[in-house]
Amino acid sequence: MLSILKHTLRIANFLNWAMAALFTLLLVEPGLFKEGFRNALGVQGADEVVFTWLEWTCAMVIPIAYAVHLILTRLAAMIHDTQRGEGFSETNAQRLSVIAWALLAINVADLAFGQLSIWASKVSGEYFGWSLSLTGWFAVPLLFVLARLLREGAQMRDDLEGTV
Amino acid sequence: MPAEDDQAIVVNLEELLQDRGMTLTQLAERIGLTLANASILKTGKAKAIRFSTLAAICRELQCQPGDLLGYQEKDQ
Repeated sequence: MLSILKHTLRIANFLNWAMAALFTLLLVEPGLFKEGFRNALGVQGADEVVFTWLEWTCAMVIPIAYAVHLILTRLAAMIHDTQRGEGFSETNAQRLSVIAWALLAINVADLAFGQLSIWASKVSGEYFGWSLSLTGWFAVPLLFVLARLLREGAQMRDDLEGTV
Repeated sequence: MPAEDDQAIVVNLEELLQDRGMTLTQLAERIGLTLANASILKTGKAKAIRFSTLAAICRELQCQPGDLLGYQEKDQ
């Protein structure tokens, strides 16, 4: 089960960077996709707003992809350690902290994306689809607490290993 | 007290074993401790000792906890 999950995370990370590459291409060469987007979105008279929104969205995807990379690779490493019976360690506590910071960064980026979408909706009169999700904001403190618990657990394990 | 200060506790197991003419393996068997853990204790690498282990050692070596453990300043 854990092996499957580990491989799934690696594939997910590959797809994450593939998507990031696609969005980077959109950012660098928006002209390549302009007609397709114009037809797909069906937005008339507000092209500049749509493409400004698209450019900023693409720009935000790159740091988010890096944050997702941090989450997926750290999670895979934690699973690897757990399979070897070394789950309770200071290293894994540090990894969980990194995951918490990365998730916080994603949530902040989501807020920025929300502001961008609200602005674009107001200017163009079209709905750009964003709603505030609290799930991620609840997960961040939870992960920080779990990281602290894991750190204390690892210290307790170290002490126990030296107890005769 | 910082954990590093625990290093100042010295274990006099080797002397006690020599006085009683007992090997570490024999002691480990009698008190139900693995030889690896007994060795950790003897070489002073243990971070902590259970009261049950201490009591068993005192029982087998006919000694007091103070005979087994001592306190020594780090720079001494």
